[in-house]
Amino acid sequence: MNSNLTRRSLMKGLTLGASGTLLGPVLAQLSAQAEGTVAAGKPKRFVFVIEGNGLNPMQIQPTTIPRAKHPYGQTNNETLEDLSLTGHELPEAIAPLKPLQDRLTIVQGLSGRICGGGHSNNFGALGCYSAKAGVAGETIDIALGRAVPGIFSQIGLGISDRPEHTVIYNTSACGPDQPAPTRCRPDLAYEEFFGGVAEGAAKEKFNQRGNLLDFMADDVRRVSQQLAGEEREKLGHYLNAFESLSQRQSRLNEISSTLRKHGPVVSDKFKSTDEADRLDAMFDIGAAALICGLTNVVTLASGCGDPYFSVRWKGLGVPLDKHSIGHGKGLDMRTAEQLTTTIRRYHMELIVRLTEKLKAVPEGDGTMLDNTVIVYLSDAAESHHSHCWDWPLLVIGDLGGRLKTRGRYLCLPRYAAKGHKTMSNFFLSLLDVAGAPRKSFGIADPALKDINPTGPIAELLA
Amino acid sequence: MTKHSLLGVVAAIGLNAMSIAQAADAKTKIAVGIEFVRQHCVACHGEKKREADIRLDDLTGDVVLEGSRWSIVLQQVRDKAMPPEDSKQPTEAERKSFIEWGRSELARRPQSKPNSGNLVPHDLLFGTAVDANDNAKAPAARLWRLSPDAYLGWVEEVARGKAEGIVQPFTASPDRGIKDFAALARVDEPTTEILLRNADAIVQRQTAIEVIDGKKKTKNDTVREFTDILLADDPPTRAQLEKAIQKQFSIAIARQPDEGEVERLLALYERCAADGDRTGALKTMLGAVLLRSDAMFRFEMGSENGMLTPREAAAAVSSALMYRRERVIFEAAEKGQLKTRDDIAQHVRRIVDDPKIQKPRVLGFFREYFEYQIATEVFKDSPKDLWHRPDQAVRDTDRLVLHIVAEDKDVFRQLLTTRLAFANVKTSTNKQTRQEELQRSLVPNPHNEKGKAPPEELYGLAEWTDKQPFEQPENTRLGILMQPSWLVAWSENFNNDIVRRGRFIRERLLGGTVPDLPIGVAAMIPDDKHRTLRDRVASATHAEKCWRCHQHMDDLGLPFENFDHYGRLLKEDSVLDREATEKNVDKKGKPQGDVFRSVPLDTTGLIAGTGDAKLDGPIRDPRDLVQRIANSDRCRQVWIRHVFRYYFGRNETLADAQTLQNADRAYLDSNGSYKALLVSLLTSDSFLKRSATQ
Repeated sequence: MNSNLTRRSLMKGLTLGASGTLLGPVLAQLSAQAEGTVAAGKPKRFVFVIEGNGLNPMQIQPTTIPRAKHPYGQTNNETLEDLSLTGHELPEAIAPLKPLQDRLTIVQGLSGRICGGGHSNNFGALGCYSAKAGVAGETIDIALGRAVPGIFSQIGLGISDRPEHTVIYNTSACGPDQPAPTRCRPDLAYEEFFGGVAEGAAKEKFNQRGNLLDFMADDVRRVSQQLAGEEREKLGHYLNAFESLSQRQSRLNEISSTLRKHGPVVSDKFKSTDEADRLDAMFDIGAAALICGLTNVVTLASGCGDPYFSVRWKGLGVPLDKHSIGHGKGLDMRTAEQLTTTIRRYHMELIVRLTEKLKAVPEGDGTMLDNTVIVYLSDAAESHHSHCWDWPLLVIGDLGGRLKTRGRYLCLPRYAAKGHKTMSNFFLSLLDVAGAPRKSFGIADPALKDINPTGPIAELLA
Repeated sequence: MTKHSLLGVVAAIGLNAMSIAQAADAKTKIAVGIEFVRQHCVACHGEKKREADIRLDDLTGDVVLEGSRWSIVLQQVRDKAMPPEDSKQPTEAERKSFIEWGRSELARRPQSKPNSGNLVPHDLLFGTAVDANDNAKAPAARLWRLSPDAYLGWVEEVARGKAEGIVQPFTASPDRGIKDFAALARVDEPTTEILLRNADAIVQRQTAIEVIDGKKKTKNDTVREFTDILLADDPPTRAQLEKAIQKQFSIAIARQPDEGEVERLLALYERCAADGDRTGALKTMLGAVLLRSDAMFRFEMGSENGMLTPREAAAAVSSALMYRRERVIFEAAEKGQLKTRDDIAQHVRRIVDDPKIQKPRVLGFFREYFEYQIATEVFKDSPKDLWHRPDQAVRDTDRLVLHIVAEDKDVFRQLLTTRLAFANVKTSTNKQTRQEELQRSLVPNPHNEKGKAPPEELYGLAEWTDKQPFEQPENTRLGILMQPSWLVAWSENFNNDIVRRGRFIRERLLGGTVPDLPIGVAAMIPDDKHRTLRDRVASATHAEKCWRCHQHMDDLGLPFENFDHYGRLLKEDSVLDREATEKNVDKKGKPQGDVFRSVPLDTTGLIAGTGDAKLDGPIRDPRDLVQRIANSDRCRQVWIRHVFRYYFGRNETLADAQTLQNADRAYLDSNGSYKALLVSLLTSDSFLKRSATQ
């Protein structure tokens, strides 16, 4: 991407003209952002980077901060531990985040027992419920997307353990039994979002989707006209869906110059069979989607969900599947821990590259990165076979100063101790700063009713 | 007065003015409704002359309190069943205005939901014999979206048995009870997104081609009419494309397209192929057929004679019992049969009687009616002394239900009172004899399950046996409501759920109604472990304002205190021993946990307010409760009302009285045959006839 191009110069090149009405809020928002007139309501962007197979709390624990551990490994603090990260050394697995240390907060001690644990908590990881019987409710990324909508309220990207998977449903959900997709083929994801400005097959596929949506809207309308009363109304929802999707397709066409200028550069990695390449391409698409204003919420799911987690990172020199690594198997004199560290470091590098792209785009009196928060966690909580006593995570960025996440180490009191918080409390904090506060999110852990951990985590809010 | 307070007054005046205007508007509308009833109904349904025991002169227009009566009036007026033909008729404008008001007002209460079916009073459906010649107005034409399971069945049809990678797009009702109601099913935008992707995936499978040794070859399970086009070097002819469209219609919708449908799809192909991508154009055209509204919805519009069209009837019967199409009945429709009730009845009997035809919706009803399968969703800590496996408990209950249905004698009574049970069973095929054999399903691992009772102990078995079903010891468990799966399903995380168990009995067996929890009421049962749950619930619900609703539930749920929330039979209750707990400390004074003491078990309850003297009265224990219900005509009929709702996808109305009474009679005449009940329902006017919508 040409980092010399700024959003201000980009917007100057755009004319609202006759299509202004149709362009709607997105371009208006972009325009306002480009002019730096959104100080009162600075943009809010959320990125979730969620990796399969668990995140050992020690892999994000600064080497210079001792961790009080329970005999079984979980957090054992009786009280909140709140330290500055300044002067502390990041562990090897997340050392690539060093340039971002002043924007980073390491959070330990959150729990998510209600999710049930295992190889993956699937939708429950972002939804705070047990997904063992299916999708039980909305996930946080979708909830935030509804609070800060773009053309797409949320975009789910990722990889699975098999390159032939085009779309999987593993992490995000719009509501009960309404999973949201994780796109797993970068080339197809590119077609979907940027195909309108592409050439060749991608362009044709994009146009065919447009034709299909128009045809379906017409077809359903034709049938609907033969009905009356409640039955017509019933079919009306299906008709509205096609019309709305068709309109969204048109909106992509309308911002084609933006997409053309800021869309990702398609390369071999978009069709690569190598997982590292595909994930890299997905990070490119995610960054471009944010920069082009396609969405304000991106979920990047790397080998999440059962049975998609057993990825082989051949491109990183780790051809052993993650499931085996999770069971302690090593490779070529390298321990499972070392292999995990290699893979984790790669994710950190991709996060750093993403932040660099956002930092390169001026916004208001700062950059896009200033108004973005990135959350990194695992769908399997604290281990390969998780119990969700702990759910370690990283927060990068402070969302325009709304979060107190600049260079902190936060370890919450242990499970069931006074002041203990759950993932639900963390997500409530995000909803709070998104301007969509709620009293609860997901399903409360019944075993914590004595300490009743409701509401956002005050220590995280500015 | 300050500027701010002045503004406050102005704002308040403004708000008041608005609310007064709104109230006036609402009052005017209510007056319209009441005036209509006064003019057209009260003469026969007044204080003194109460035709059909329905009084309407005292209606105030409060549809929340008077919902059941208003819904009856509205339905009768909408269907032009009332006023009677020999009475003065409202004008079309009056009728329309009344229906519009009633719909908008009644929409405030969830009467279209499955759990509000009991709003139609039981006595109006079963109280008086319906004249066999009474030509009740047929139910309105309707659309019924595929259920989640029916969608997967459809995918198996169109993808030739391979549904891998397809995502379930449809949402079942989150409410408890019967899930698939025609009025509730919608297809919204997120759902449509998934449908689009699924259609794409299905077409890819239908048209998959691989290159082997430089030659293009079709993969297994592709559709020849499609791949012939893709394998050819030349552009497809119109005839080839038409053939492909016809084939896709046949696969996806089980009918042939009309001329207009073919032309529009060909036009879509041409538009997509204009860029030169003929392969993409063909796939887009084929995908469009998979997304058609008549693929995703079942249309029940009816024919000129009021009966479902043959194809609609085939789909209705087939979908009632299974998730895939029943081939033979669709073939009959294609041949122009299924035009008469006898034609259709013949197929219904054939399908119901043939054990080789898989009918998953037979078990499906019992699962949604009893809801024991929810047991797997109730989060519980694993106890130290029990291997808690709700999944196995559900499988065992499934097996018991299927056993009772297969026996097909006195099914309702057996469901409630059988002493038979299956415990920790699975079936596997003996490789030598090729016979199916029962096996112990879960075998405890001596290390992991050390000290934990295996699942079969829940049923009173000291050792697992392959002689199943077996008879449980006397005075222990009877029927489905005492199966561990049901008890867990209707429990909370840490306790039994007395209130909801009682509500189940009240609504699904006694046919009563219970208002939903009022907004703003925080329903909390005190956590004083030194008292029994029975006492704690009473302390929370016996206040006058609570008891008004709880009197309909609590006493019916209390007999199940005979079991704990894991479904274990209890001989005594236990409460926290506060003194012993205080003393239970180690040498350093650190608490060592709660200590409980035994107290006598109280399993008594009460049936009251049913309007049936044979039913009402004190209850000794859960066995007494289910036996009394099993002997009740009313409870059997309430169960049949639920069978109706499940298979018809809607609540029963007054117009269905004859259908329900016939079904009850068919059941009794056949010594309690569920098959006979199904045949009666699926060949009734309510099932097979439709009238035009308003």
